[in-house]
Amino acid sequence: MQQVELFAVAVILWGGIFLFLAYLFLRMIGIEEQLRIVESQIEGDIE
Amino acid sequence: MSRNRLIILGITAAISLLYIYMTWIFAPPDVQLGEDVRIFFQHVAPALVAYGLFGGTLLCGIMYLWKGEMKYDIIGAVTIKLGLLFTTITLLTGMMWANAAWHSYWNWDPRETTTLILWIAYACILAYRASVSDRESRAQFGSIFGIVAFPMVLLSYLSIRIWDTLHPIVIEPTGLNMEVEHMMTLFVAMIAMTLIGLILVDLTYRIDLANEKLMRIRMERS
Repeated sequence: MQQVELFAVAVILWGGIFLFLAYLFLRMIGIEEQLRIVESQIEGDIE
Repeated sequence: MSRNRLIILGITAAISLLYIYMTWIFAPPDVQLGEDVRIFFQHVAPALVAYGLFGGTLLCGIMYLWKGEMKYDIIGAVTIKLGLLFTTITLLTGMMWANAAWHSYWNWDPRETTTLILWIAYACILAYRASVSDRESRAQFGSIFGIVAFPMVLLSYLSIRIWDTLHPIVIEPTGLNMEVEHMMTLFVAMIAMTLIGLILVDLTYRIDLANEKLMRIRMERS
């Protein structure tokens, strides 16, 4: 295997891991915010 | 984000950078494989993390059937998804290594074949989970399938000891069969991959839990 191929493997693997982590992190922030809004709406409806 | 999570994230980032440095710069070329040995560290660590995640599926399945709490079902599903991700990385890097060592990407070696069957088995569980709309039966049967599939993990791990194989046996009862620098790199790789795996489990669990709560609220209100 050429050095450049090994480098490509490293970039794809680590780039993939960090991109996936970033995606999950942003999705978590988004969905928890959405849940917080919905729960506060329910509390508002009950009051 | 809580302070503890930020600390764990920082430690993981530092160990991951050390892993990258040790894999691509610190570890010397192998006598037989040369520079291709660097693939080895991207192969073994995800494989062992995948086995650990499927072990988590087994434990969550048992806990759900015993306690009946939905959180165990959600964590079980998360470990299957991430276990499949790590098994995919293992299979892809394994194919690259096989091509470098044996001049063929796929050889139907016992380890390759059992790992592929393992991947298919857990993918089928995910497909089953996605196809059932009833929450209770999805959790019950999903847990049972998660328990029933676990012997495939053992078979995949032990395949190189049961059958004649091209795959090298690195982990011996007497210790690791490799150079000291490679052993150190593998050790760091294991810690980094395990921490990355745990962070992924935590993030995915929180997303799925929030999603579950939102769906329940929407169903109750409609």
